[in-house]
Amino acid sequence: MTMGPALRKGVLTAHVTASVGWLGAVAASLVLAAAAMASSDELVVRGAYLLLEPLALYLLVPLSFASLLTGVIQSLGTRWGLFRHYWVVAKLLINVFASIVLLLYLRTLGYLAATASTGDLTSLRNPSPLLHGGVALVLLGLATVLSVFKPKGVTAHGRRRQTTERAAMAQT
Amino acid sequence: VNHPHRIKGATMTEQPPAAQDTADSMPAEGMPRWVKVSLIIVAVIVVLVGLVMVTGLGGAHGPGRHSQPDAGHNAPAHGIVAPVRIGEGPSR
Repeated sequence: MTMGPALRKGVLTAHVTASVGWLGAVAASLVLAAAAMASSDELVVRGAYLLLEPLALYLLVPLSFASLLTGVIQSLGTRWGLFRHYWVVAKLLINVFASIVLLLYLRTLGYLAATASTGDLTSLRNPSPLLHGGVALVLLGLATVLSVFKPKGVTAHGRRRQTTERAAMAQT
Repeated sequence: VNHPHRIKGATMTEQPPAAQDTADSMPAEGMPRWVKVSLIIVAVIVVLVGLVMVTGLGGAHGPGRHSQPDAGHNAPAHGIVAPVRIGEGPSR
């Protein structure tokens, strides 16, 4: 099913908003993680670990799901398809991988938040959120680059679909 | 002049070319170089991460790392309570 121009642009706007918003939220969490590691102010360190959990729960997770959902709708509703072009498949894999790791990482963020106000400051500092946030930023940056440049390359599935479409065009 | 089905420099709102438009311009089959290079990079990263985890160089890792009080080095010592502000109890 192919979407009309207005619907397509609407879904595309939602997808770009969610994806870039996700990227921005990851950048914000990275700043918090860096502040928690580098700041000499105890309140900043504890506050950063307390804030990372709600940031992930109420911003990162909803934006990741919104990005995934709108991306799938956008690809299925246009001739790009979900598995026809390598760049679309690559973006899908990045999105699914990042979303799964984010969901699994909520447990760690929950633990860090739970111990933020009571734990010893030295043992509280943890490079893990910085590492995970950095990797997420790189992955989502790559996804953005793929979206803009759309590198060429049709999958085997895409070629079969093209052959079918050409045969249908030849008959009409 | 903008060709309606151009790929190079395509913006995010453009549609891919129709099958008939690309039939002559695309190679018969094969994976693009950027995909092969990306797969090699991903494979190398997976192997490196696997080695770090298997050898234990990176320490314990995984979603359950911080969920058990005695599972990691970040576990607070039992009985030690350090309030954020003097005169206030822990917020959580």
